[in-house]
Amino acid sequence: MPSPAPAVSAGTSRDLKIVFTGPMGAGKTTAIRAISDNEVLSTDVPITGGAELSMPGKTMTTVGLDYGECRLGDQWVLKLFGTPGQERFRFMWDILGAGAFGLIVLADNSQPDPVGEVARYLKAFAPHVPARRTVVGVGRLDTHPSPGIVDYCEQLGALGYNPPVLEVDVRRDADVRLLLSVLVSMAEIEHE
Amino acid sequence: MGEGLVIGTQDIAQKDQLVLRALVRLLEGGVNIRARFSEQLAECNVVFVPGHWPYRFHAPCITVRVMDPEDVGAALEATADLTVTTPLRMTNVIAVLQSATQRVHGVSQFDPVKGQRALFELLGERTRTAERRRAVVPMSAGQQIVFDFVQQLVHTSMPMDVLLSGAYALGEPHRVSPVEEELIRSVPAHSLRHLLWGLAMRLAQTGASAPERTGHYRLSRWPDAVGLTAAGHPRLAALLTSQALSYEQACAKSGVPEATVRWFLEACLALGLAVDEGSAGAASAPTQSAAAPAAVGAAKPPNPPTAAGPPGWLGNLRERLKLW
Repeated sequence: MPSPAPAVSAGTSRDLKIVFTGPMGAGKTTAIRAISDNEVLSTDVPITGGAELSMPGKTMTTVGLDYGECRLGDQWVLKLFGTPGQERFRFMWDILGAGAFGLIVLADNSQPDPVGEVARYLKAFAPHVPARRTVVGVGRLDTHPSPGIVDYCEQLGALGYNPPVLEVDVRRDADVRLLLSVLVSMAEIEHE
Repeated sequence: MGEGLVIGTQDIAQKDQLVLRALVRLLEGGVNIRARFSEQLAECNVVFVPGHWPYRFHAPCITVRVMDPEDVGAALEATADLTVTTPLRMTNVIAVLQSATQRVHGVSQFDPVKGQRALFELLGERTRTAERRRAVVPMSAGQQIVFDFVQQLVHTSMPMDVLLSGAYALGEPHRVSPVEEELIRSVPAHSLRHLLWGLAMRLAQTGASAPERTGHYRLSRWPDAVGLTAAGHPRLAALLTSQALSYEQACAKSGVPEATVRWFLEACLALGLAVDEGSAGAASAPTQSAAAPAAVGAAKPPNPPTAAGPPGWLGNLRERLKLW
């Protein structure tokens, strides 16, 4: 398959875009903060109502996007975008997904039907990012062990999706780097 | 003194002495602690004494202080003595005898690679054959490990680091007895898959030889996160989910050290992730793989490829973020 050539911006640097998506509270903002060089630009607002209120301990939510970046030498900039989780901001998914090199879907296993949620995001981003550059990270498996990783693989496989599904805690930098290690390995294989 | 513990007592309460004798007799048959009582202190290598007994036996003899619970805080932490609290129960006596056995035998007599390989093979064999029963495996130094293949757990008082060290010898597996059921409830549980992957990584690090594999292997799904934490594993998984490869092909295509490839493959086979697709004909043709299903693979990349082989920016990304 052809390789993804990252977008070339108007300036001298070249952009490599990775999108973090998933439901609200899955850890997208945290994951981006873990690997960004500088302060992450967030459009978080206080939660005031709706289903968001049912999430204990979560007081802010992203309504536009999260953005962080990481310079890769002189020429390349890794741009990390986090999408808003709520369905009502779906129009942002298409905007942020366009031209992305890779997609990381984060799931929150404490929420109802987390596998269905992952499938929904995979479907939504399929027009923009090929499945061979998509990785799923599942959080809160320690406190909510069901569905397990095997359940994710089986249920997503039945829908035609077979991405790597990994248990992660995005509060740990190493877990975020694991997701990226897998993504980069998949991209490298495309070139061989 | 032989290989087992020779246990004596000095001035401890008659009741505690009777309980201790009974437990040692019971444990010797049940959890593979080789121990016997002796009235001759000169031949003992473990002696139980009262908590505040003002003396201690000279090494290599081990002094075990029988403490009242309220005195535990005043235990002589700085000394080499072991302690056990009253009332004496099976669990705390097992723990102290295991510690004593560890000290008596030390760990230097064991070949770590042999221990790691034996445990890996035992785990792999039972996992491959979808073993459903719990099994107990006696280990040297009076330890034991209980495998629960249904829950994918291992129960043992040995820390994970010790299990991964290979500093032990394994006995013959047998079914769980009532005594061991009691033990299971009192000792920590570890993830069986974590242990298996950990052993595979240790064996790869030491360059241990693995069985010769002549098939062409494909991964039916990606390994767990724990199986991808070693350098080269994500790359191997990406390769083997996209096409079936022989061991030699996987080495050549991945550029990953041979021992890493071998033990990665062994772990995947043990966990049922790798399937042998047989002849070489199946090897070279990449398919709509696990990593690229037809249903969602229709998206076009934003731009055409720029060069053959991984471009430099992927290398930059790896280096900058310290990816593996």
